[in-house]
Amino acid sequence: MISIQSLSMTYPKNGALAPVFQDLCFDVPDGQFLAIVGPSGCGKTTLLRCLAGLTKAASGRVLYNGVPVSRPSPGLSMVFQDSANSLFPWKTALENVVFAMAKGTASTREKRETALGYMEVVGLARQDSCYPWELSGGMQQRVALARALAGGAGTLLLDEPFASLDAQARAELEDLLLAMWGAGQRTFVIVTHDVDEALYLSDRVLILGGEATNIQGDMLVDLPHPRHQLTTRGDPRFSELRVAVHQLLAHGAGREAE
Amino acid sequence: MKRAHCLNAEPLRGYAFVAFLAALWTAVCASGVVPEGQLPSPYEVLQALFAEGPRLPAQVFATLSRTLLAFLLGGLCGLGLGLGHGVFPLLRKTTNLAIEGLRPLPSVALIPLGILLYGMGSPLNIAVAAFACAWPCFISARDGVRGVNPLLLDTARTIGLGRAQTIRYVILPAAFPAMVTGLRIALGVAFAVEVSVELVIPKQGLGALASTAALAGESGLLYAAILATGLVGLLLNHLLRWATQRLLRRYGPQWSGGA
Repeated sequence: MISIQSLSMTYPKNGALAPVFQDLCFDVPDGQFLAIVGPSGCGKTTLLRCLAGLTKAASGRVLYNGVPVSRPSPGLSMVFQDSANSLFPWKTALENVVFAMAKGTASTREKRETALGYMEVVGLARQDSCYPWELSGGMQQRVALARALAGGAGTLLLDEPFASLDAQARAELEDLLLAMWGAGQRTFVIVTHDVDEALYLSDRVLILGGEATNIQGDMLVDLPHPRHQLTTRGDPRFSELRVAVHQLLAHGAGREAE
Repeated sequence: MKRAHCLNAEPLRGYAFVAFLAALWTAVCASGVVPEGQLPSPYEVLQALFAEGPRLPAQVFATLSRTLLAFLLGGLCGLGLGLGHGVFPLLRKTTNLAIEGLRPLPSVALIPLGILLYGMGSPLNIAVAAFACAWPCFISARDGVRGVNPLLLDTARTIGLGRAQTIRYVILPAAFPAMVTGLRIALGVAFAVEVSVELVIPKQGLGALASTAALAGESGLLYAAILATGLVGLLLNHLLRWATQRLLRRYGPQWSGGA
């Protein structure tokens, strides 16, 4: 379980410290698929980096299974928005995935086998010897996902992972994520500005907003599994949830305008 | 894979134009517009080149060997210092002022000091050319390290790599293309400076050949020396392009494909 306890972040502005987000408190139970939505600039990415241990918060703390997160831990793996730049360009797709196990004690051969397994999971079994620059954006993001899995993390933190993809690749990768989530006891936390994507993927949506970002809403997504791009999105309940999330987002923005 | 820089891949019209220039040159000489002795005909130049023939390899060897030694020495020092500056902020802060003060010094201005230190032998040429070609390596290695994409460093941290491992497995390979580019520039610089030193102190090498020919009024030989120098430069350049392509192939067309 990830536990976020009165987490605050500031940034320097005109010589003073302005808040990015303030006093965030929430828990992410094991096995949950949590989506965090909010307007751009609200600190979603910073929050996720705090969870990953890549950025230190101004105050408050993040507990992972009861242990404070102060640096990246093997249990939490981050998938970045810009996969093209987070893959090592001089390594093939497979080598990139193998490299995630650099700290592992398995033999090179075992690591390779494991990596090939994850390449298969993400549907790239035949692209193992391609360099990242030979792959499309969607394929690059698949490699990044395989790498995150190979790292052995129980929790995947995804920062707008599909923001730069076309609609087709995006839908395919959303379904891949759902399959990955359905296959094991992994926890997923995804940050996105796309409300539809958040609802389609998650079973809980956290809505951020406001001048100094705080939690505007915390909604359970009671859409049935397995999800399907057409039927789930066509579900009347999907529309209801969508309206509710948008209202909360507007509420957050409205307060900002005051 | 496309061999874009192979000599035979050069379009035929390029060679045709060179032939045209040679013909024009011959015509100008034959017309007598240019005073005798200032512009020998291509035939005279080739004659001088062949007359010099037996002694030419030794001159080429002198220039090339000193160029390469200077390139190795200066390149290694430059890359080492640049990497140090990129990786260790303390080293950068301590030595930056001294280095930035030394860097704008034209390398040929060091020739007198070199004479004092080394006399007029090969060590002088090598030291001056090495000084000159260390800088492009320094800059490219330093900026290569600084320019490593922060996402790669985040990824290294996520994987759990320590500082030494991050330098070894992430920073060095990420900065490698920039370092190779710096070396490419450095070899050109080393060659140019080496020839300039030979011109100033004409003891050995292609520059010395040109310098003595000019002083002796042997215009055919002078042109032959310039021609030979140009050809050696061309050869070095092609060699480097080929090596760069091989070394950077895995980094993608952005690094290995360009001219």
